[in-house]
Amino acid sequence: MKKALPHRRVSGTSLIARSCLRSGALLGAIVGGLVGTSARAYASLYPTTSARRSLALAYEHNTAMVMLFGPAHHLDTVAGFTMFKAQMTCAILAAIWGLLTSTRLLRGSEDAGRTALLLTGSTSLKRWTGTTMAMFTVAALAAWVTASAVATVFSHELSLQRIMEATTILLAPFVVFLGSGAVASQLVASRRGAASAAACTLALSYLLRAVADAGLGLHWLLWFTPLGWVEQLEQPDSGWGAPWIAIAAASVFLGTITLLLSGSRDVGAGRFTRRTTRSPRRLLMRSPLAFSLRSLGASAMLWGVIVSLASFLYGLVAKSAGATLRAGSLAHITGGLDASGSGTAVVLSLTSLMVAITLSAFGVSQLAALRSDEAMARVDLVLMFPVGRSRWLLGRLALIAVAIIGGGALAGLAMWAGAALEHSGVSVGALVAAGCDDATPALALVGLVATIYGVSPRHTVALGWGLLIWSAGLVLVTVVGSVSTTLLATSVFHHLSAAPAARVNMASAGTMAALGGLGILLSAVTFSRRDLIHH
Amino acid sequence: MDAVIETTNLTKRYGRTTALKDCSLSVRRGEVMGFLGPNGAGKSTMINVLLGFARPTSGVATIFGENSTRRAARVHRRLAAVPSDVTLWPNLTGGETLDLFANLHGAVDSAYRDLLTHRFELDPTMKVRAYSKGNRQKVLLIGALMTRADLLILDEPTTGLDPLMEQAFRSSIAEAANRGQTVFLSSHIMSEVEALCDRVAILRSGELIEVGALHELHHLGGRHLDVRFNGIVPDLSRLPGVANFTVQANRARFEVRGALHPILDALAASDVITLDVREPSLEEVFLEHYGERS
Repeated sequence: MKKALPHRRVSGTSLIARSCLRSGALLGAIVGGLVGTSARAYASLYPTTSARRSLALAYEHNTAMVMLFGPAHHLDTVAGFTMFKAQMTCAILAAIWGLLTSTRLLRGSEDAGRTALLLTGSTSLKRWTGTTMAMFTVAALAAWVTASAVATVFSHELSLQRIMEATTILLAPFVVFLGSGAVASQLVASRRGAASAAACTLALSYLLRAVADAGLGLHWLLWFTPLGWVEQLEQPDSGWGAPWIAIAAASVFLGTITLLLSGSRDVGAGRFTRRTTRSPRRLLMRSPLAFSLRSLGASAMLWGVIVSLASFLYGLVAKSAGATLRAGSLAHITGGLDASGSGTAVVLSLTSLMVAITLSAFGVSQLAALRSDEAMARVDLVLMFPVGRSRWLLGRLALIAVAIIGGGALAGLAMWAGAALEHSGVSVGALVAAGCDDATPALALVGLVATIYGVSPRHTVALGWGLLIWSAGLVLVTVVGSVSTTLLATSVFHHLSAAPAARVNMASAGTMAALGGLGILLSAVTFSRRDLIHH
Repeated sequence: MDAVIETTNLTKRYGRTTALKDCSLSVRRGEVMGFLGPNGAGKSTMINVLLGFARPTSGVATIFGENSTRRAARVHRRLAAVPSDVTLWPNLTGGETLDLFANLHGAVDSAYRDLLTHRFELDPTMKVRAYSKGNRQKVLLIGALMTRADLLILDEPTTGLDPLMEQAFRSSIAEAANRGQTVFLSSHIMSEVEALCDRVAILRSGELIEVGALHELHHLGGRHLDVRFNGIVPDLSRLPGVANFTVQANRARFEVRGALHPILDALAASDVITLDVREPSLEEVFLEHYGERS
């Protein structure tokens, strides 16, 4: 006899609160992890006063570094280094997280029709928007508490008070961009559009901050960008009052605008009208493979631009960063990576590792999109025509593999372009080879996740991202600490050569590429022998 | 071969749930077959098996003599479908979606596509995102009908269509039938099935409980009689086959199963002003069937 499930009272508010709690806690865990590991890495890589002074001298007056990552203060202290290392990464991550969270909860719910359903009850759009925004405080609080707790667990080098100060500053953009996403959700009538509009404000914010820090006498521009306010907060000597007032005022202002806009528009509509018609674009529609390319194209290009740009920037700073690595630190990292060579080559190897992780993330995201297409029965719309199942899946996976290899080569080329501008002396061939090598763990991971998709599609997304986080986490911990060899062998990135600081290991690269290919073939076979699974 | 669709002891289980149980069904060339059943009866599962999207646990389904699971791509060359509960690509326009369907199918009657677009009053320049539910359904319908495929498999095809568009749909199916196309129409709109189908199969909890021509199914339900008397209404409720006997002033309404002559004999002895005998509608047959067995 079936046991009745216990009755749980569920309301729209509690669902939003739970979602905010989850989202905030996850962001907090990442930020806390970054703060904690940065502090630990500093103590491990720069153990002596002279090493720390040398680091401070190399970075504090490097304009390129300041433009990219913000100014460096007190790099000879754990707190100063941690803030410098985590500030821009965490601030941008928190901002993206904020805008994605608010557009998902406000515009995403509206897109899916859930808001309309809730509004059939005794509430209005304005009141519901207000309730959702009130729940954002749950997200912010969860992020702050989790970040502080995780950072405390990871690092013993920073006091609890310093950790709490750091996480407060680093999470400030989360609050501002929750508001930015909320306003965009009122203006644009689709989740994607709202997220893009809010992302544009973030890009503008970053650009203004970079110009303000370029040493052109435009430092006052920092007051016109939320990332600038955060940067001001990181200079305790200059006083915290004004930036905090700016952050609070912007948050209140954006919240008020959101409420006003939500009270004067229809459900499902935005303040900006969308183009609903257009003349036909028939490019890449002739075959299932061409259509897969059309679906993949925009996303692949976006990832390609991001990975190339990041590689270029890291290539640009590789020489300066490499020069700051003292012999002991260098030996520690090279030992972890199984590499040798100059500081520049080691920094480029680390960049290469990040490229491999990014390419893998692209691969997993594409498999998640594939699963989403099946869940929404879009795959049915293709397979109800004379299209072979295995052939269709093979085509789609092959395109992902080609995009990964192309992305790796492009990243290598971009890394070289950046490094060449600084006369780093690393050859184009070495860096393109490193880039192509970066594609191999991504291919292995794609093969593995594709097999999961072929066998158990419902687990594709969770296991795919889980495997990526596991693999990346293990090797990143190796760079700053130590992990057992058996455990490390389970990470696909452990089998990546530390090129250009080491030669590309063709056997390892070939094995990973072959694993990827095998996984892809296996997924095609299993996919053709199972039911299509919706929802 | 005369049978276009043939299923033999088709069973589909999802864990402990049996979605289809020993379903044996044959759809003849050129006929319009209605496939009826309430929500969750297994209609969409049957269609998924026929389209090769789901593999039967046991039994076989063939279309044009080919195994629908193993030779799905080959079978799909001769069929077109309107699956239920699918999501179109929101960034494509209706016209682009139809272009894609045409390319994937391979052969499409362009003139007929234009005619259907006009008939269903679809604006092909609009993005799918901006379409109403009915308009999205029109895209799927036009996509299937424009192929002029030998077999049309339609799963709840008129979901979201207004009555005028339902008429357009009915005339399109009538055209398809006249051209000799076979149609397998899953629906729970009885009037639609009654208007379009030659034969009907009724599915309940995964089991086929009735397959037959419409006129045969009509006999499964009782005939409805409405009699007006001049004076007192005689008590006919005890006559064989009489059910649901109700009297209102000088008027009696009841249903009769089986032979009518005992009733007619009784009525001949009374002073009858008017007599109306009506065959049961498919809906009444359907409800009666489910009422009886559930």
